[in-house]
Amino acid sequence: MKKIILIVLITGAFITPSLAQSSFSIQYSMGFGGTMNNYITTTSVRGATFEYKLYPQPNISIGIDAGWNHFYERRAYDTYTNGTASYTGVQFRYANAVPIYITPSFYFSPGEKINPFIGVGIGTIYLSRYVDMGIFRVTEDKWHFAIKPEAGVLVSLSPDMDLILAFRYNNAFGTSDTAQQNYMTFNVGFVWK
Amino acid sequence: MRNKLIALMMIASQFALWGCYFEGPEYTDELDLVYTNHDSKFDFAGKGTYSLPDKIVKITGDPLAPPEYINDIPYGKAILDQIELNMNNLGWTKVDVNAVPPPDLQLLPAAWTTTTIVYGGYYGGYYCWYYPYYCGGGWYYPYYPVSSYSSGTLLMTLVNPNVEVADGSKQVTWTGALNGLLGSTDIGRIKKGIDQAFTQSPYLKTN
Repeated sequence: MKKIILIVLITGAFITPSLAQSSFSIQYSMGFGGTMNNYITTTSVRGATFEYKLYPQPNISIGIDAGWNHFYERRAYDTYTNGTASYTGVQFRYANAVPIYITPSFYFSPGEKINPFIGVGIGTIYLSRYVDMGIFRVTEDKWHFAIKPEAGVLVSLSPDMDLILAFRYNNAFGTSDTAQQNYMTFNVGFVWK
Repeated sequence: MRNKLIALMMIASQFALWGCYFEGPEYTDELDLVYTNHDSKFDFAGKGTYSLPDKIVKITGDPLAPPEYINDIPYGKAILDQIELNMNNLGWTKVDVNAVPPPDLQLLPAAWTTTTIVYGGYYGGYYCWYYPYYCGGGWYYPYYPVSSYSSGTLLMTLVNPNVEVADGSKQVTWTGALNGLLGSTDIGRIKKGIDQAFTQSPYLKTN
């Protein structure tokens, strides 16, 4: 699934539709906060986002983005209980989030050096979490319906390249057996037009 | 073109740096695990005596084979002494394994090394080696026990010899398991694990 999306994004970056401008972006993504904090309190320093956008008008775009954020935390030696059972040891907690969105965006100052924008993403997040304790591993993998409000700014570096700074709130709705999950990301990267 | 190359190099260097970020256990003792579970319907507070064998059965995987013991290794007596110390601290009085009438509970230690991981099952064979007249009944667990790990394991089980359940088997009231400790040369880690098993089981107190 991820390979297909990546191929679509990369192919899209080189095939410019005749009726609209397009852009392709690669971003470094840091994840933090939200309900993810209940599971892993540390900031994710491993993450990336790929975006492909079409611009039917200079101040409006519609695109698709796919990303990945990896969270990790080492919990100190402690006791955890589950019913009548108690476990003591060091816990290693991991989470991988793969968000995939359709992303309409609005730009306030197209053509200017600084171009702020807002947007929303509608799509899905594949969330895989696992806990290692001793030699045991407990895993949970789910697809969630997801919405992502977004705000950011484009800084023009050259006629065909921008720097992008963006703040995103990834909200994965609950499933029948999994609670709602959310986390924020700060992205920085480059946009090729 | 030059700007594009610089941007791509910056992105590539960021991805490369991810490899420097280490995850997971770095030391063997970070894999030590202490597990306990108990029958919530059993009232430990009303009891007072227990027995403890002077040797630890080494489980070999064949319940019909002659029993082996790990008392000949230096840690056997230290393990038994640490178990006794913790039971005494909780208010229990140790009696002979052949005491009449039988004690309120029997603490049966066992140990093994294995690379097989089984969770949610149990291994009841060594029960017979301590008390052959119990054989045939097997175990009764009111909860899922830990049965084996991939490394050294010490299992401590408190059995109620005075209550028969189901098909005549004896009631298991508490299980404590330490994983990854028996292969260690550090008796301190073993003692720490035993202490932790009893510390996280405050319901074992007799008063």
